Amino acid sequence: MRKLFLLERTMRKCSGSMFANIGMGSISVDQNLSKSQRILQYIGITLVAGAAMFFIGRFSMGIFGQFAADGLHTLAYEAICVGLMLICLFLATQKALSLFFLSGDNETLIHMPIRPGMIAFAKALVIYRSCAIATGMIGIPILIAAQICSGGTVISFAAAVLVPLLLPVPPVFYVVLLSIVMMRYIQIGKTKESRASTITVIFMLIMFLVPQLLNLLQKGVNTGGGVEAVVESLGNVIRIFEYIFPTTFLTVGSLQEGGILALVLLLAAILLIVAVYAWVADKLFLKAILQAGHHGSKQKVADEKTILRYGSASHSVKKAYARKERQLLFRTPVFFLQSVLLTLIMTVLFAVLCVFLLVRMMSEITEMGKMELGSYEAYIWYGALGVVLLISALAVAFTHVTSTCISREGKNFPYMKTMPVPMKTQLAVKSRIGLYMAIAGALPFVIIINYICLMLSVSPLFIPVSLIASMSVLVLGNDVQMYLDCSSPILNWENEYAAATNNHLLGSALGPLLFVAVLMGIGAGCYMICKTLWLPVIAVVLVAAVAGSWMLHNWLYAKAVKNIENL
Amino acid sequence: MIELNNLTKSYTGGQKKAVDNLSWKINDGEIAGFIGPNGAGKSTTIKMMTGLVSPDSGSVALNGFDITKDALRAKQQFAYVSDTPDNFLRLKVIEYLNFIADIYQVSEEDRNSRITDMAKRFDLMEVLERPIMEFSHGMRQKVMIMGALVHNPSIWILDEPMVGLDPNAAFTLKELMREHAAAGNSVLFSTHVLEVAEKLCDHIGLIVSGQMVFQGTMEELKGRYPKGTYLETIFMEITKNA
Repeated sequence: MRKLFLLERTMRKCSGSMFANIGMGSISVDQNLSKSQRILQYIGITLVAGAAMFFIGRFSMGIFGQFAADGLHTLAYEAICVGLMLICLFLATQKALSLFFLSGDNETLIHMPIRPGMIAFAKALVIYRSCAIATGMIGIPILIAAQICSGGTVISFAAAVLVPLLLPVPPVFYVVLLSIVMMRYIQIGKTKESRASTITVIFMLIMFLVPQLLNLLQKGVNTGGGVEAVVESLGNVIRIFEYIFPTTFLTVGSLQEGGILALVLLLAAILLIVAVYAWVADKLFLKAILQAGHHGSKQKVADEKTILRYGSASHSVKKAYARKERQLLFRTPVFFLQSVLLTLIMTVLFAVLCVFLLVRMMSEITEMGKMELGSYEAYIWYGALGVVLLISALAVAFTHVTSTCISREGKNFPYMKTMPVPMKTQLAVKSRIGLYMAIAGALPFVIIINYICLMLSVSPLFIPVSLIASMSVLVLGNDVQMYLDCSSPILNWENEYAAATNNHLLGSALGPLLFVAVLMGIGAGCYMICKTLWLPVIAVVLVAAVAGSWMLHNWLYAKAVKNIENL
Repeated sequence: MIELNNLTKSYTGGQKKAVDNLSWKINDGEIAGFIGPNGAGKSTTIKMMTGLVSPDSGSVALNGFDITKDALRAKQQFAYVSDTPDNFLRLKVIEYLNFIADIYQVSEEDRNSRITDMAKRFDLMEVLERPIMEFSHGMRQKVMIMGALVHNPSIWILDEPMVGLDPNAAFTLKELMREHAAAGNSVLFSTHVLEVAEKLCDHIGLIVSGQMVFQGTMEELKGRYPKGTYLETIFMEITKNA
């Protein structure tokens, strides 16, 4: 048992911050600090986590109260449990691929006097802990709030604490087992990046059953039956996931009144799952490692013509640097998954949903567009601009290209410093790739909002104004991310996941958002004072936003370069 | 030409001097071997020479360009091979070499002829289209050496370049060093293989506890320590007494 926890701890340390999953990627306790300083850090982390949990719980009480009033508390429990297990599936998939399929430590560990099953078990435990932190922080406050609303018993409250910690077990079980089976039976060496990336994408899509989920939701809304139809389709979706996670009914049962038997059965089921996993892992893991390490595919044989072919590419320094960045980003499955794919999937999913809703509401919007806006136009301007700013902030916060631009370099970092290319140029090329990703994430939504505004007969001037405001937030958010990674990069990583999840801070976009929002607020205040001059006010605010963004951009670059030179 | 003037670098808040007032001059046409026990300050010195670490005091001039004051021009002067060859692993060998050639603005004609020549000498021609991560330590080291030399700088700074190389590759590298020095350029390399330093180097720098305890030719060294027949015995004597 001691060996197991030692293995787990070592692997955990090599795989990055445990808090990366909940948007707090740079939170970790610095082991170089003195004992008292470490205790203070622990207290700080606990306070932040406690505050976040309190707000989640407070927010959930209102929603659950509404569900309970409609007699839908069982559905609410099912939705919470299935939702949390889906989150685990999502998180575990990313982590399992890096810890099992693409891990470099398997060959080292397998030579040690440790049972292969124990290595597989320790890896699963790392994934479980990471998921349990996320489900615990989100699930415990929600379920406690639900128990307060429904007047739960002591057992129900205990279940509300226990269930979120048990929920990750089935999804983690599926993911790690599938990873081992893939390693065992699908011959893809870990160096075949393109294939590994493709498998990653397919793996995720299968796991999330996104198309089915969207179809079902769409059917529910299309029936035109309002809330009942949505509830029905939600129930249908949950039924599907109950087949995938058979423990769901025990989980839900244990949260309800008199659920002690269900709780005991749930614990027994979880123990059974763990035992089955331990047995299967012991049987398959060694063979899986041996198979994954076998590269039997044909290798290209190069010759002098190859040199001529590659040598004719562009010779510009910036283009070469950007090409290298893209190659490393897209070919490293963990980087691709964490920094590129998540943004793309989120954007596509939400954009499809927005377009769908827009189509549904088109007739209402057209009707509203025929009305005389008068003084309401200014309010629509500010409301729409607020949404544009928020979306831009979220797009940049969820794009993890720039926030990991230095960390991803790892052992390449010394080469960055010896290159005869100014550090500012290198950083500019790196952050530009992240900026393009963030723009790709925000642009579909900015276009949709602009389209709605035009439908509402808002002045076409809104288009340049919203684009400039959005770009200010995107550029500044991107710069803040670059500055953060230049200030606290992880360079000595063994596992790419550690680099890919560094500085996953949702707060990185809050500063720029606040800056532009304050300017917009000043504009709104000016409008209140001199009602007829709102267009000039907006023009002044925009000039201030652009000038301020430019100054902050330069300041952040100068600070980032200084930090890098001191590393 | 490499000139180190009174270089000093401290770690842990100035309590421990990793490099203490080190001065050294390596002339054009020389191969210099930088030797010393583990933790003596070799890597820190090399890091200061290449701009990876800023010195607390002192200066480094590469062909007359100061690495801190005129960093970009100084960086154009040298090729650097670090002690770990695990870099840019996801790139193919040919992509990596072209990347370095682009960064140093090497013309298409020059890069093609140099890559062809080195690929043949290091026996890497057939694997140019394979990702570096598929290779063993020694193969990776060969790729890093090729990358460092593709822009043909006048100064070579190599941190333990022989580690992991097979005898053929080690021989090729030594041959390349000799050719480069014979053409009037400077080569500095750190090593723990004293036989290599003894046979290859025109100039030896021995560092112990951050201080340069000897610099000069092999003959001068033997003259100062007449008991020692080989560099190994002299090294043992000096480091034992230090």
